[in-house]
Amino acid sequence: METIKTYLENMFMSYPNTSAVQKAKMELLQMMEDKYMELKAEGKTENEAVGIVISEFGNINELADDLGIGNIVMEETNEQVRKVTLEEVKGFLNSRMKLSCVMALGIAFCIISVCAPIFADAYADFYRVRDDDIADGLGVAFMFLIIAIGVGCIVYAGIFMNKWNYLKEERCQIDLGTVDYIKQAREDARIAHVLRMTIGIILCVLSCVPVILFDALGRLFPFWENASPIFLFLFVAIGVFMIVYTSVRWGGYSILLNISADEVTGNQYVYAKKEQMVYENKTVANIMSVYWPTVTCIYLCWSFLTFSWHITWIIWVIAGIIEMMVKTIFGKQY
Amino acid sequence: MSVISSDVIRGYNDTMILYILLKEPSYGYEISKLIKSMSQEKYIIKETTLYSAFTRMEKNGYIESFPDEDKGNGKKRTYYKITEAGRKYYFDKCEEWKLTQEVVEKFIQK
Repeated sequence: METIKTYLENMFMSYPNTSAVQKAKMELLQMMEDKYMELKAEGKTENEAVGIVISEFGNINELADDLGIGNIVMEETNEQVRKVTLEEVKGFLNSRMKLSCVMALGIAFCIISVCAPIFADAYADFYRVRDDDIADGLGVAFMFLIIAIGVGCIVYAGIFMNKWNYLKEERCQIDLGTVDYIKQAREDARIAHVLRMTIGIILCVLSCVPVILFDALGRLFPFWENASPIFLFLFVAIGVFMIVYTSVRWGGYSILLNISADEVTGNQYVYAKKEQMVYENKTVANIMSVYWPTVTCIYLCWSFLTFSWHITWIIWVIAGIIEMMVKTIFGKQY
Repeated sequence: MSVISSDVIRGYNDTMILYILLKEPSYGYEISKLIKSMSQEKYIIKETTLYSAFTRMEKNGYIESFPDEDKGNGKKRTYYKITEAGRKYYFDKCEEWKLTQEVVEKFIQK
């Protein structure tokens, strides 16, 4: 039976995967399966049965017009398919390697930024600074300075990466030799990727350890008892840096190999549209589009009104969890 | 014995399928099996020919498809049933064949 399925798949290989084609494939398979079962029941051997079924299958071109494939095949060839050369692939991977570091640094800076007000707060508390508004103000000022640097890094990396967007958006084609090159490069990078990913995750998991430790050993380090969230953010920042850095690099290979994921025509791979996360519910989609700006707004308002920078960061954690929940409940993969 | 050329019989695949559906709704393999047995195994319809005929006739409104379960083994299948337009088309085709046969017959060496 597997042979028959493979045969059918091969027959339809050069056809676009429209719903009419899928239906035809299913119906034909059903008929062939029925015939195969009956032949087997009559006592034919596997080989005989498969042979008869395939010999009586007919000519696939007979279906082209009925399925409206004739037109589609024409359209497909008319549409511009961009050929991606080995040089382009190398260029893309190279720039991604460089920008991955900038991108990851930018995000790490944004995370670290909250350390400034925490430090200022703890400092003012500990040394009983009389005018603690100055300390708070300096802390916040530094926070924005670090955020600005971080956002700068992210924007810089983003702009340079935009250049390669066509690999994701346009229909592209790469030849088999280039695909082999990418696969080889990815294999070479695999161990480093896994290591960085693991270290990054471990750091994130361990991030709360310093807080717990300083809490317990508060007497020995009275200053750090209040300032311990700084370590939490440091750990998270380094962890996230590792994860983003390695994911951006790894993602480069995936984008390229995605070009070659689905349809194979001749010895050329043609790009298949990628899956996307979409909210089906309109209201949810609208709310989620302004989700992170709102969270940022709440964070800043709450923090400036109360100046409890050592508590307010918890918003980010909660917001992250809520987003995950919304995604799992309302998200649809397309 | 010569084999029926698919070029010649093409115009009458529809007639055979509709004849079978006149009695009761049926599905792909059953129809092909009936065609084979009724022609005393002289004509075996190809799967692609059969499916092509289904889609064409459905588009023209001669037959309708509907999902149903096989009474025998409970398998989900696409069944086809003939419509009023299909019935009329069938009888027209019968008339056409009688005429064709009459004409061609005159040129066949006995």
